[in-house]
This record gives sequence, C-alpha cells and structure tokens, in this order.
Amino acid sequence: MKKLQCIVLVLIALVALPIFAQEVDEAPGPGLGGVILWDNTGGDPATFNPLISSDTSSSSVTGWLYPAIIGVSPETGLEEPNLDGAMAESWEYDESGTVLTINLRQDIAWNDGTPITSADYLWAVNATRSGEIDSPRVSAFATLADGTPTGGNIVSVEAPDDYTVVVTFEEADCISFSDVNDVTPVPAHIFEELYGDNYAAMLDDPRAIPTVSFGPFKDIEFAAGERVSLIADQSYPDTILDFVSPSEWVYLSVADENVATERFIGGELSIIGVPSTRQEEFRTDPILKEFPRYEFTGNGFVFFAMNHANPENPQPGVDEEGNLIPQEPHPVLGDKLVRQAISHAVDMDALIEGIRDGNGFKVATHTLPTSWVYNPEAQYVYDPELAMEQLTEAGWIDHDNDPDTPRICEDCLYAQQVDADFNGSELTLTLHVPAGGDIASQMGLFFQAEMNKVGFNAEFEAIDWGSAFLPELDGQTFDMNMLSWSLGLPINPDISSFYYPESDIPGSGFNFGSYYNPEVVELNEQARVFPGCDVEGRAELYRQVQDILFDEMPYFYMYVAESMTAVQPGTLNWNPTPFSRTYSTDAWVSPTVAQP
Amino acid sequence: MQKYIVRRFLQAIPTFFGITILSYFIMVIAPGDPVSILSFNPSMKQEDKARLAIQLGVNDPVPIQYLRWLIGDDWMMLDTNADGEVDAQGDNYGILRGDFGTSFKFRGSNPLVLISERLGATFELNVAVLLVGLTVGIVVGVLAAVYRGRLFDNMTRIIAVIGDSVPAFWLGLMAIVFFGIFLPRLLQAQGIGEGRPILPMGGRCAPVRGGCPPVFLRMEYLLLPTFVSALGVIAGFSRFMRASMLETINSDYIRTARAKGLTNNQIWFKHGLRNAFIPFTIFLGPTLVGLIGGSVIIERVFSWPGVGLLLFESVVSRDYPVIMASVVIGSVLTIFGYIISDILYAVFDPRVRF
Repeated sequence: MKKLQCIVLVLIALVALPIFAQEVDEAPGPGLGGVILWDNTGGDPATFNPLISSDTSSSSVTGWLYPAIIGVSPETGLEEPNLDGAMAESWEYDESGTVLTINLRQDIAWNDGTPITSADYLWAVNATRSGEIDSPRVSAFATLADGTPTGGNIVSVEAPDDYTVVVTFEEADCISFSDVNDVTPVPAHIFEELYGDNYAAMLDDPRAIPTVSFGPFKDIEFAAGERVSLIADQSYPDTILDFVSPSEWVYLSVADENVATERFIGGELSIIGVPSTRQEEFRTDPILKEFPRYEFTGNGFVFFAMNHANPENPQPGVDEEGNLIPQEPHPVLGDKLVRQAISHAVDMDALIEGIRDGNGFKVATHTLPTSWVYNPEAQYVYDPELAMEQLTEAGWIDHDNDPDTPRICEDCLYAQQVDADFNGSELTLTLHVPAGGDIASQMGLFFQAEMNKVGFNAEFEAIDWGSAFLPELDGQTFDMNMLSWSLGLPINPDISSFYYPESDIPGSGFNFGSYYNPEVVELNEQARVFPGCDVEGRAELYRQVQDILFDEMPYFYMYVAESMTAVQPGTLNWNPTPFSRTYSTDAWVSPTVAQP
Repeated sequence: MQKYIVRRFLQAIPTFFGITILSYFIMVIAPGDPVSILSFNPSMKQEDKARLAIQLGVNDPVPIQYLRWLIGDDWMMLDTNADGEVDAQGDNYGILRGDFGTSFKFRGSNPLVLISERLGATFELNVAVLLVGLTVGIVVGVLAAVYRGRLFDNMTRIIAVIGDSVPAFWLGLMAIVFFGIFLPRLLQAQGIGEGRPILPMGGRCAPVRGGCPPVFLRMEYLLLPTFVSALGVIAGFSRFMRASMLETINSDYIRTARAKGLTNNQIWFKHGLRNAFIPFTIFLGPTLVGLIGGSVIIERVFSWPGVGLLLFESVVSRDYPVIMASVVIGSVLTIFGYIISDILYAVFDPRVRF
C-alpha cells in the first residue's frame, strides 16, 4: 500500500509541478512581446481550411484562427463552458440524454465585426456531412446528407436561433459529446459567399488564405517550405492580458528534430519539445539548465501491437450481417500464456533507463497516468524465470536445456487446436519497428535480446513506414509491430475503435491484432451509456476493462514518454500545464529572436 | 549536324515515354499506397477509404491509372461516391494536355505549382554550389596536376577523399553547432559579442514577413549550405580536372610544344588547360538537371525550402502526382541536357563530327 501511495505521490508531483511555472507578469504592451517562433517538423500545412485539414501542421495554424464550439480546459483536459477561444457558454441534455442544447456566448465576433453565431457552426456541419470534402470528421455523424450511413452517433444539428445549437444523438451515451467538437466553426458569411453549397469547391484552393478569423493571431503569410507567419490580432477579446503581447507568431519549417534542438539552443526558436535523448543534458548542463523547462507525462504511449490471429490468413472480425467470424489463432501469440511470458521477459525499467535516459513512465494498459481511470497497480513484473515457466506451461519446451536455442512446440495451443503437425516448430516471432528512429530500433533490438534469453527466436527489423510497416499492420500480416500513439483531449477511455470485432478489418480497421473479448465489449458498452454519465460509475467499469486487458495482454503496452518543453531564458507568462504548453501564448513576452 | 539533332529529338520521344512508364509502374507497384497513408485514422472506415481511393484515382488497374495520368479521364464516366454506379465525368486532362492532376497530400494543389514554389530556392543554392565547386575544383585540380606528386597534390588528394566520404548530414550539423553555438559562446566568454550565432543556423532568409530580400542581401544564409554541399563537388571536380590535365599534358602535341621551346606556363595553361576542359562538357548536361534537382540531405539539415525536401515528402506520402510531375520535369531536362552536351562536345572538339 505504501508503494502505491508513493507512486500516486510521484504521479501528482510529475503532473502538477511545473518546474518553472510562473504567474502572469507585466508585459510591455500590445504587440511588444516579441516574435514567437515554433518549429514545424511536419512539412508545409496542406491547407488553412479547418474543414478539410487532417494534418498536424494545418491544425497548428488553423488553431489560432477559428474558435472551438466547446472549449477544452488546459488545466483539466476536460470540456468546460465559457472558456477562452470557445463558443459554448453552457449546455444541457434533455431527459432522454439524446438531445444536447448548447447555448453560445453572445460576446464574440469575427475580426470583421460579424458576430459568431450558430450559423457558423451549422455551415461547417453541413459541409462536413455533405460527403463532398472527404473529411474524416464525417464519422461523428450517423449519416451523410444523402442518407448514406457513416456509423457515428450525431443524427442532426439544428440552430433554432443565433445563439443556440441543438444536437440530436442516435442514442444516449457518454462519449459522443466530444464528437460535437470535431467540427470547427467557420465564418459562414464568408464561406457562403465563396462556396455557396458547392462544398467540394473548397478542395480547389486548399491554401486559400482566410480573410476573417477569430483568435489571437491573424493574416497568414505563407512561404512554401519556409514558414507560416501570423500577426497579432488586437481585436481578439479572449486574451489573458487584455491585449495580444507577441507581435507575430511564426511556424518555422525545420525538417530535422536534431537541427531544431540546436537552433533552439542557438536562440533561433522560442520553444521546443526537447527530445528524450537530450533531456538529461537540459537538466544538468550548466548552460542548458538555464533554459526554463517544463516536464510532464505525455499524452500518448508506445506499444508493441501483437497479432492474435494467424497472419497468413487475416480475416475480418464480423461478416456483413454483423456475425462474428471465427479467427484462426496466431501460432505463437494466440496463446495468452505466451503473451504474458513476453511481459515478464522484457525488463522495461532497464529499457526506459538505458535507452530513454529514464524519460518514460511504465504502463501496462492503454490508460495513461493522467487519465481519470488510471490504475497504478496494473504493472508487469520483470521475471524471466516466470516467463520460462509460462512458456513451458504453454507447451513451448526447452528440448535441449539450452536457453540460447529456441524452444519448440510440444503440444502448444496451436498444435492442439489447429494443426498437430505444428509440433516441433520453433518459437519464432518477427519484431518490426518503423525505420528512421534510432530509439525505436534500439528498443526493438532490446526486445529481441530479452525475448531470446527465455527461448524465443525473435527476428528484428526496422522497416519503412509507408512501404512495409503500415501495409503489414493494416493488412494484419504482422507478428509484433511497435507503434507510438498520441491521444487527443479530452481523455477518452473508450476502446471501441481498437478492440471491437467491428474494428477488425484487414486493410482498414484499428483492431490490428484481432483481439476480441465479449466481456470487454460489454463492460465498455455499459460505461459508454452509463446512466447520467456518472464519472465514478464509469471509471469503475473502465477499470474492470483494464483488469481484463492487463490479464489478457492484447498488446504489450510499454511506456508513456516523460516529455520536456523548454523556452528561451527570459520568456515571461509561459504557464504550461500537462494538457497544454502553449495556451498562454497570447500573453508571452519572448526575448528577441537571435539573428547573426 | 542538323540531321543528328533532329534524330536525337525523335529518339527522345520514346525515351520520354519509356521513362514515364517505368517510373509510374515502379511507383505504383512499390509496397504501400497513398490511401493507407492518408487515412491512418481510426475514424476512417472501409467505405471512406474506398471513396478516397476513387477520388484519388488509385483504385483502377495500373495501366488504366497510367493512361488516366497520361491522356486524362475526361472521356470516362466515374463512380465518385463508391456506390457501384458511375455518376460523374472525369475532369483530368492528362499530362499530354498539360494537366498534372492534383497533389494527394496537398489536396487540390497543382503539382507544378508546388514544385515551382520551391524551384527558386533550389536554383539559388545549386548555382552557388556549382560556382564554388567548379571554381575551386578546377583551380585545385589544375594545381594538383602541375605539382603532381608533391605536397599540394597529396594534400588535395587526402582532402578530396575526406570531402567525398564525410556524410553531408554530419558535417552540416557540426557546422551549425560550431557557427551557431560553440564559436559564439567561445567569443562571448572572451568578451566578444553577445553569444548570438555567427552564421544563420538554417533557412533561406530571416523569418520576417514580406518574403526574402534579394539574394545579395542575405548571402550569409547561403554560406553554410554552400560550403557543405560544395565540398563533395570540389572533391569530384578537382580529381577529374587533375586526371584530365595529366592526360592532356602527356599528349604528343604537348611534347611538340615543349620541343618548340614554349614556356611551362604556355604549355600548361594555354595548350594543356584548354584541351583538358573538353571532357568537362559531358558534365554540362547533367548539370542542367542538377541546377533544379534538390538535395534532400542539405535541404533537410539547413531547412532550405527546396525541391529535394518536397520530393522526399512526396515519396514518403506516396503523392503520385507530385512524384510524376518531378519525373516528367527531370526526364525532359535530362534528355535535353544530354543532347546539348553532345552538341557542345562537337562544338568544342573539332575532331568530333556527327
């Protein structure tokens, strides 16, 4: 119990204590706070239109230019009413829980003076539902405008007046609320004039520069391959200091992460996400430790996806009528005991310490330490002896008493259930990571070595993402593939996209490993439609889901990155939180950018 | 000569189509497809992916895809909403009618526009690299030949090997760290300067609004990428020039010149150098392509907004229209470059006749 308390205290410390958190300071005045330079390692933005964007670079720019319908608090990571930069003042559900009425703020306007109203949200919804702009956000809706089913929960969106939006859901649940935020309101008076109801015309000029915006910055200037620049918009009403302090925000293209770090150290960038391999240097180097920094537990995890089904015969989870399709088990990973053995064979503490310089937080399920359903007791124990016992129990025998040679199947599960001729086969697996990352390759090699110590014949390779890794992951022809996964806000513990049989579709679904447990689905559904969406009640159900996942180990969840963000010395009003390091940008005072 | 030129241009037509066919097929049959990459998102369902594949035009058999790219699809009826029924006419005119389609990654953008946005930066850097590389490379090569076997020759040989073998990525990063961090801090410790970078650590110009000023006002941004990029060029040109010079100097007519009592300077620089330049004409063709062909590594390290980085990103994201637009531009320039090279060879060397 004491250990548990320690872990919880450490977590609280990690999450809640910004090393250099500051109160709001004085700033010299509107537009006098210097130029803010962010690095953009993701390539040019594909578009400046939030309705057709799907890449991070585009979202980073449009995030300054358009409001959200419902704000997400940088303090809690949860949706809250009346937040800066958002339209919703309050909301309520009807008794059935299927009709959501959102009351909008009446004090905000686009920077041409036109009030921001429900019509702006409605135009964006209609464009998305039209099916003409091929938006991934269409999956929030039950159907396209022409009635084609799209599988979402939102049936209709209406605007009874300028400051009210009514959203009707197909069924009452506790997770579709966030879907409302998938669609970004746009200035309807401008978009209507430009495109009318020919929504596809937006694709003709994806880099059209918005003439009207709502945010602390405005007026895009784009130089291909170089930068996107925005200037302060002093008409923005939701500022922290009653004015926008920086004069300009520049999204500077720096293709390489290592170069970006050096350019930050040289003073050419205002803020940087410090790579894990450099974090210790920023803590200890006499010069680098002068940079104000903020350490936090990241909002994503790294894991080895494990294929539970035979990779030589990938099958969808359900047929067209929704009936379950039996899955032939993976010859090795189809057995829970083998998966558990892997969890005990790999020393994750050593991996985090040795390869990530200690900058990782060990996890055992998809639930992050920052989540409201996190269970700190779910931790795998490094115990190679136990791993070997489990393999023996699973019918993988060390036939020559030589731990360096692979074990062989002697009445293992696959031989019992599928093919008796499988007896005598070696305990072989392939481990793949995306090529291009040194750390990923080191971790892959570490896994290979650790697994081979207990009798696996693990073959490791770093393979190209687009041409090899993604096709075999998507096509479900892999054994174990390592992925990192970033999560959005608010935190959503729902696992329907990842562990439902309906998501097990070779070529497109995200249940890559064909994992299915009806109890998990049932508990997740109960939490999804929990009466009143009581947080404690739902958390209990989600914890039960976690317990099962911890035991059955659909994937090998490895760690959550311990992240570090740093800014230039002398930066004022930088108030990072675990959920946002940049929400206070409009109040920043940043030192002059270094130029030779 | 005229007949030869006409013949070469006629030969260029099947060569061009051969290049495009090979490139297109290799590109499409390579593992990985644009739909998977663009739709790696749990929200995207199978139907959405099918619709996206149709919209991108990558659902057809490869020969049909190639034909649609080449001659367009405005003569076809397409099933744009993936419901199994054709519902709209194609609107692509094909590259033979000047329509290069639209980028997959930058939806709706014309590939030629995307490439042209980057050409200026690439051209600027490559001209600088070529000027430095040719000037220094030729001078060093000639001097190495003149002082064959002596210290200068041996030193340049060692430097050439280093220049050829040091990875540009490493050298670039070291140059950035040295001029951007190490040297300024060293000077600051001595009371000189404020510790700001001596040379810019990346980019084509200062990140200020209004676009980049003329190149002569921002030469400092060219220095590091030019130096790092030119090192390999200098190494190559200097060794080539040295070999060419030595081959020329051992010719019969040089021996005759010596017998006539000409001075060493006259022999080396009037008779030798002029003829040693002739093999250089074979470089002129590829150089044309090189001027607009970006360098992925240099552009990546120095955040130089050139074509190389765009093409790299296009290959990674399987952006077929942008890849093929660059193939078309590259192949046309290469074909023309080699034709010009051959013609120049005949012009410079009177012994060569077509």
